[in-house]
Amino acid sequence: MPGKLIKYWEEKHKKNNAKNKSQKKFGNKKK
Amino acid sequence: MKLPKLVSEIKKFFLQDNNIIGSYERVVKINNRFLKKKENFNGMIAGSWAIEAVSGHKIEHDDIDLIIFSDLCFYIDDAITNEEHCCNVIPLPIHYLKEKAVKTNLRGELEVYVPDLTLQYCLKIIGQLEKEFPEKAVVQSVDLFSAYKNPNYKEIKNEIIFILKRCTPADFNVKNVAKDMIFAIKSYKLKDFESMKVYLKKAHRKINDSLHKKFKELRLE
Repeated sequence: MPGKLIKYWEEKHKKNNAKNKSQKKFGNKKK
Repeated sequence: MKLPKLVSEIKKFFLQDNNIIGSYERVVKINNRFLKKKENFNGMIAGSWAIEAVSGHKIEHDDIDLIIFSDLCFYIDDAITNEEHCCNVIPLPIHYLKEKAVKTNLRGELEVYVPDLTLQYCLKIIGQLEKEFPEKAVVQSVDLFSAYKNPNYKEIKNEIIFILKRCTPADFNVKNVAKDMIFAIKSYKLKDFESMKVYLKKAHRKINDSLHKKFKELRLE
């Protein structure tokens, strides 16, 4: 698998992780 | 990123093992030493070795690709060039990868786990970063298509969408590409190899354009 793609997947993972953490911190507000 | 213990051990093994990169002897060693765990498996053989396992066609191998099960699953290979060597997370959840692991025999003697046909098909298309879909990848796609017996296209399409959503940029139109990928399998089954190639290349170009655009944004190229 090309290194560039794998690097992109790592970035994607970090971003998703950060998003999940922030969602956990602030909770999912539902009306 | 901290590597799972098993991934570190395999990386160390790649540096020390005397067998040729991508060789069958190395596959046997890795499988028996690291992947096999009593009745269970710690990971799967992926890439060209997985294609050989499901199709039964002997093919040439440049490297050995592995998917290692862990809280975060890893994709790792034994290639040595910077272009091709990889060791990093694969953005698919462990429960999904375990569910899609298929037990099969390599060269009629080695019991291995490999990704199911659709996961292999998706990874084959996503993994080609060249402008044109290489002829070698077309041949390997044909090997995968030949292994589909009575394909359930609805299920395959749903699986393609699930994988592409997680492995390609968020703004990418996965449903549209999933259709092309399904048409490629259908064309193969109808022995319409010209159309099969057209759909394969169409799907590859769309995924590839979207990935390269993202790479530029992230300054990966």
